[in-house]
Amino acid sequence: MSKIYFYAEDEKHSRITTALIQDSGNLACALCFGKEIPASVKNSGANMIVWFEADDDSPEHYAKLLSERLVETNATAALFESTARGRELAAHVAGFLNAPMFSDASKLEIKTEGLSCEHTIYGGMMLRSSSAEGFAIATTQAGFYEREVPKKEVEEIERIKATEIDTRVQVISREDIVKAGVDLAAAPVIICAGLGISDIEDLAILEALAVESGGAVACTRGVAEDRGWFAAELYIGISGKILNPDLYLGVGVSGQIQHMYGIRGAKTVAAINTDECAPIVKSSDYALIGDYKEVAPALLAALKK
Amino acid sequence: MRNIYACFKWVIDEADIRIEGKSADFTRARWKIGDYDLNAIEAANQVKESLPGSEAIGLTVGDADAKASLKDALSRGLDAVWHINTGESKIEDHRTSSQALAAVLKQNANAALVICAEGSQDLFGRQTAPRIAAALNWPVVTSVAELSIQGSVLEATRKLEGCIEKVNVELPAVVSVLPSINAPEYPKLKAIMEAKKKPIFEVEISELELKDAQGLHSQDEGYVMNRKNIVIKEGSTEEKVAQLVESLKKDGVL
Repeated sequence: MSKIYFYAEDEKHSRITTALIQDSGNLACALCFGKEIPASVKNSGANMIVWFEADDDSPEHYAKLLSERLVETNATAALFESTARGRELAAHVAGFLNAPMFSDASKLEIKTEGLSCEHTIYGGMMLRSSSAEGFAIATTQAGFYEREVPKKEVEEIERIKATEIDTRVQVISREDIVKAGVDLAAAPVIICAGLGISDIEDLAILEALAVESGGAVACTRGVAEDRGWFAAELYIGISGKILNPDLYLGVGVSGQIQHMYGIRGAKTVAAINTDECAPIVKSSDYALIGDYKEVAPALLAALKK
Repeated sequence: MRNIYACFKWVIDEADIRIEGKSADFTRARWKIGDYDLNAIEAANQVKESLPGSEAIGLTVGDADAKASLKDALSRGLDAVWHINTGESKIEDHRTSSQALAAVLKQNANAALVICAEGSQDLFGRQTAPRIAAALNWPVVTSVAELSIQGSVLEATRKLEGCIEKVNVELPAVVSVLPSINAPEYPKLKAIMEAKKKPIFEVEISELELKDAQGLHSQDEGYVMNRKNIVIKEGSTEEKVAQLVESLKKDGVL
């Protein structure tokens, strides 16, 4: 039984990571950095919390300290939720320790000899199975493990007064991003607008489909960044949102691999497209071949029945 | 110490990979500078403009074939380019590639800023910028949506999951930039001609003293998307829609 450290921002992700570590017969040590212990860490069900206490609440600035801690305590692995901060901290620590790191790992296993996992490469075209001997780092995305531990307050807390924090990066300001509409991650149905949508007015019918199906409208990167029809937070893909809805419906979406990567976890993938040869047809459960200008109103009428 | 470095990688265009079953055919695949890396190169060009006397320099680790990327990189506005030649071997371990990049930056000792993409287009590990920073003991900032240099300070705007964060960073520093930071244009003929006269530097990876990177094993296979692949194309629009709705209801997703 050895110590496996983890950093997660989301409470559910924390409890899933705890389950993975404990199921492998190891001790889950939840990491936190800053003035206080966040509720997501407190309730993570981990065996212990390691709290680097200081005024600075950017976890990225503790990379050096965390690296030293991992070495001192003979940790066998460290896992990080794949958020912007989590990834930076993970790779920075990996750099200090010259350790192997698996990015966005799925099927992660913690074995006596080290970590093993799968991760996608070439924009999702291929799957790489990797294993490391000895200490390794991994980042994980939502849904990487099937079980979570119940919510439980962690009793054992190790408090480390952190003094040597990296002060070369100074946070000047933070501004919350105003959520552009609904929370995509929570939507059971995603109606996705692709570049095949020729008129901006047609987004109204997509919105209506979303309302009728209890879902939300998202888009491809081109629709957000080239056309500017949506905020960048609403595009799906390897460099954007990764979603696991019950149903994904791509309307005028060609189905580029980088986009499809973002909805791989969808239970059902459906598409409306004029082109039977579009890549999305091969990546869908159901591909309806037709012009969305006719199909979308008919679909709306059918849903309203 | 005023130069701006942009890291880039010569990658397979994944759209050309043919997956059959679990095996992959790369023979027809074209190679290119990764799309995300073009943003890093453009960012370096833009920062250079605001920094009189500085140069924008490209830096890549790749096998002998990656030489084909150098003229392309130079035609995109860089003043010079460094190639860390790995000969016949393709380096896929982030430990080695990042150490190699850091070693050249250390040797040159003239970098104010190193700009990487968030991730390379092929592996998208999103590790390189923080690893270079660790190797050089420089500060790092990732997820950068805007950046500029004011005196000896880098002002960066980061786009994180829930917030926009503005940070000031001591130089020299390493950053990774988001694809939204700029929109690189295709090089013009004039730039392509000028690129022929620009300097290319090469160093063999064996000449750099890198720490061992062992104990990592991997195996690749084609990703098989298990979907039903039902194509609904017969009948009127209403009939097709009815078939779709019925199927989705049967699957319990509507």
